[in-house]
Amino acid sequence: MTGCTVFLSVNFDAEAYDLKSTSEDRLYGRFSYGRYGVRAGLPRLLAMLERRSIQATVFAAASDVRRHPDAIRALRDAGHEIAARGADLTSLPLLKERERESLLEARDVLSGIVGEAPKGFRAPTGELSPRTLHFLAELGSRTTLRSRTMTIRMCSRWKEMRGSPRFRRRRRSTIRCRSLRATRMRA
Amino acid sequence: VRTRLPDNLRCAVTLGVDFDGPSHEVGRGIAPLGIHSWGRYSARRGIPRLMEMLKRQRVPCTFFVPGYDAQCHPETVRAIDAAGFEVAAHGYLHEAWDVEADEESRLLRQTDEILRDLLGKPILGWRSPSGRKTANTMQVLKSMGYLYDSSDKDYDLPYRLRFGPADDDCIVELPNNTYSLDDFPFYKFSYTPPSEVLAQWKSEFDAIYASDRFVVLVVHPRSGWGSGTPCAHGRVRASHRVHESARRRAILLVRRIRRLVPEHPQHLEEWSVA
Repeated sequence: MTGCTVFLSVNFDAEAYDLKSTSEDRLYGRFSYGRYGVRAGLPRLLAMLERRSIQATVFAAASDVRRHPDAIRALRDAGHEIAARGADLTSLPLLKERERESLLEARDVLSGIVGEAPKGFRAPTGELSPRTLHFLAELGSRTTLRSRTMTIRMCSRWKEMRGSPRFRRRRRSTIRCRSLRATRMRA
Repeated sequence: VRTRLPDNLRCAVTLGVDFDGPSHEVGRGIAPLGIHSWGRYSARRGIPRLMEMLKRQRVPCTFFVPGYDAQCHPETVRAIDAAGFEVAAHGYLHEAWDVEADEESRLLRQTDEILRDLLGKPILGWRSPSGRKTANTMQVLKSMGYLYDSSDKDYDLPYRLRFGPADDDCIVELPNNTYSLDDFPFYKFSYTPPSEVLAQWKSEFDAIYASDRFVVLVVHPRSGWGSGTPCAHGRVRASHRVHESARRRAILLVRRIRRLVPEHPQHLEEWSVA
């Protein structure tokens, strides 16, 4: 039986996400969801993945990696892949001539903390410039993933609940997890 | 050290009601009339209806009140206190924008004074309107003798939030879950039917009951986007009935924090942002 290939990915998106809307001195209250990801969401997710022997790919921005090196190393030690997600979560086309520098920083920070260069990349906000793929190839990245459909976000934010897509998204991720289990059972 | 709730405590439940009266509109420069009168609904109908239900069910509760709303509806706020519920602070004009440090200190003190004068007792807790706060906020709250803040969304359990180097530069944080245990996003943004909100709250409760044992439910009794109207209100009531046995063993943590923290500081994890 062929089964189905499932790629489970996690966007780390901690303080880097809150910092898109506020400054360092205001990372409290409505801007503390990123910390929730690291303190509460990630350990819960890790435990679930371990229980089910699932290996995931974690995309993390360099600024988050710098802030949480131990969490990133723990993810690596648990067998998950750490992949790049820009220097922070700024959309790449907005960076203009600083884009390459930002991608280089992302690669180097991850390499320094994980111990090897990232092989994969996911664009912050899902946007690429016409030059992004060339830069990534030049910097040694093998694959680029833009798909957001399979993302389980650690930080559930009520902002995303506008309209009902949040619920559609959640239902979708539930289905993915179920089909993942089905795949493993078939395998 | 991870927060450890006392072993004899099956599940801590804090029910918080954000008063959110006309301050909401007035703060934005909008006359609280017509379509903008939802806040008055809170003061006139939503709050009394919730209070009546909570009294009947003997559920303790904390009401977070903006200073301006207390000035507009002093009788409602006195009635909350007289019924044995806790009154805590929630901004002056429900400031949903960044405020500079000096102005923020002034507003925090002004609201504290309004509520204290109205009730003749110290105020112990604060929840940020719109969830904005800074390191300065905690210093001012602490200097006014506040025991806890309930604004951060960064954890599932209460903890001691360290904001400075001195021994006393700590405040108890009761993180509030503003996505799945709050009526506002469901009713305001997703237009979720109350039946689905109830289903969500039940499953959250069950999951928490089996793990972290700390539930913070936040409701807003404004009309249109809260739990104050009769149907939604019925759902809140139902959610209490469903877990009747659990509820009997649950306590309102805020009341015990006063004892819990000085006697057993090791129960609460310390988390530093200093």
